[in-house]
Amino acid sequence: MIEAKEITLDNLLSEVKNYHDNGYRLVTTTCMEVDDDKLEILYHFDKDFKLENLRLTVDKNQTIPSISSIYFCAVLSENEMQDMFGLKIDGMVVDYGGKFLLGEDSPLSPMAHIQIVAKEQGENKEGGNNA
Amino acid sequence: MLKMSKRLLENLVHGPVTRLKPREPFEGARGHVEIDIDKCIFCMRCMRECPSGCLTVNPSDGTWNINQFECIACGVCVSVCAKHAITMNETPRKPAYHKDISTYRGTPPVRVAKAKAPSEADHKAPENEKKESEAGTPSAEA
Amino acid sequence: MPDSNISFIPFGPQHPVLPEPIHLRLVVENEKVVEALPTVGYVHRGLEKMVEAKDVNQMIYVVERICGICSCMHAMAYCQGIEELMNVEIPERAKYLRVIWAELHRMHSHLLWLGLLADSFGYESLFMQTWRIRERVMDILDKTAGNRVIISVNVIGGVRRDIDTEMQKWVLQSLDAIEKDLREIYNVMKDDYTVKQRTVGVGVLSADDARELGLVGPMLRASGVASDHRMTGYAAYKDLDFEPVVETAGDSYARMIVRMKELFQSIDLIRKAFARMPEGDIAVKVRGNPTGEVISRVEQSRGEVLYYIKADGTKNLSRLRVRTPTFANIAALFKILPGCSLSDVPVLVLTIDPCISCTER
Repeated sequence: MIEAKEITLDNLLSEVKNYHDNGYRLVTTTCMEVDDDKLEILYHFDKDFKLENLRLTVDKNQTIPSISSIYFCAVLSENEMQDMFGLKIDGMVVDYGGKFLLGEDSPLSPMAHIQIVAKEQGENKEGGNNA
Repeated sequence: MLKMSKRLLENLVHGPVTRLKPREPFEGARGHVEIDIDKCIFCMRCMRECPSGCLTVNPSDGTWNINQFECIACGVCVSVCAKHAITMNETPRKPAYHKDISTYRGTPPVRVAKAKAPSEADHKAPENEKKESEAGTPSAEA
Repeated sequence: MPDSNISFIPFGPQHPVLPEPIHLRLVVENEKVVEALPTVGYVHRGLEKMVEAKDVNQMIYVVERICGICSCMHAMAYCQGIEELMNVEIPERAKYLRVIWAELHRMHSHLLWLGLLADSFGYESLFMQTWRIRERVMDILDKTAGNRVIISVNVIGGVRRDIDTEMQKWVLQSLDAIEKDLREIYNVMKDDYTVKQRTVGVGVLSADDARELGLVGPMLRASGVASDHRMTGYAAYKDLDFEPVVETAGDSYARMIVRMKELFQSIDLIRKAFARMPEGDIAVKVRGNPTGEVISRVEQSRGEVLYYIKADGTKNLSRLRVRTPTFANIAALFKILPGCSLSDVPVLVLTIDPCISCTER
């Protein structure tokens, strides 16, 4: 089992800022599906080969704030999470609009077992076709 | 600048460093998978363990099929084969115009519980698509 | 008129200098790049999703194919993760063998990169020379492991092949010859006018910038951060004392020197590993399925790779996340490209040692 500090949406940014100010390097973020309507996001930080993790559990249709204003490099993994899990992330510095790794005719959110069907930007809606 | 010129002059008289492609394979190289079908007992272990899914083993009609073009020559089937029927040939598979599936015909062992033996033994080599034409000989162990 | 000199230049996905597809949208003002937006997504294969179809053992061969050049290290990271989950202690000899093959992979990756770098600024002759040396390394891999690139030696619980004493002698002899040739190339690359003109002072990243951007591997070490995950002593690295190669300049030249010095370091490590390798088994039998979650990190030739593995006791894993080194290093392009001249773009893209197949998995 990995050690991870549970955090909520409210203190996500302050925790990340804390790591940033203490000279940690953002390794990556990992997203995974817990069940049909929950996603879990892990933020990995590294300092002197010691890995620290933050664990955030969110609903699938919840919008999470982007940490890319603190760690610029987070745009890559956040865009990947947006592509692969249909996670809604607010305020990314560079937003590829769900086409970072996927192409125009790719399936939407392929890593999530229930595909989230995105309509036009702004009015996102959940669909329920089981993959 | 001049440091490189020594090497360049050497190269001029050295002759080619490149080798012709179908060179002699090294000992133990992973080329392509072959099977001695007479030893095969159709346990299907190789099919289950194959990472690329290029093997289809069919105990009911006694065929062992491999798609050499999907095979990644990892050698898992060789190491899991209980009867050491599968071997790794050192030479890479030959190029071909079509991605054919190589079929080997053997005789599945007679299961005592399921008395299916007579119909199976009649299957003797009517159309052997690939090499191993003598494969139909009923020498499998019971 | 200030805007009149601004133009957009698409760089890639098909570009002579890049073997792999990455697209850069460059905003240039005269010859100077003012903004760069890298875009990937041309070779995404969904290998992380494959865990649903392939079982734990079959996934080794899938993760090896994430990237051909670091295939051995990918499998090593994955196997180490699974071994940690299942509390398997692999034999000492297997650890040393893993190190040997991993270092050989690092060598051939760095040599390939040096060739491509030389090619990117038009030094064709140097490109040929480095690849000629690389071919020797490939031969060692071929002869010891049975395949040139994807050597498939790692399994959960150890390795599949042994290197016997006779083979060890041959490998060491080849390494001596390789080292001699490498010295020659190193002296050329270190002092050559052409090389220096194109690399010194180009794409400078300070140590703080590098950490901020989350860079890994030679990119980070060239900026003066002594971060090499091998120092944590996974596999047999704990017994092979070594110092990470660090340069402080942070420019393209420093990155090249770091990689060149790592070549000699790798040769040194292989020699030490052969000398200290104990006799014994090369693998232990592993039964059952893993449960739990684990993070496994390994230093690849391009930097640190992170494997997040979550297993629930069935034969398939429930989540596999691979953060490859290039995925982290791509972030550097946002920073080093603006401000450089257009002709330096190929060199700078290459200094991050891009592996797009890795990035997209």
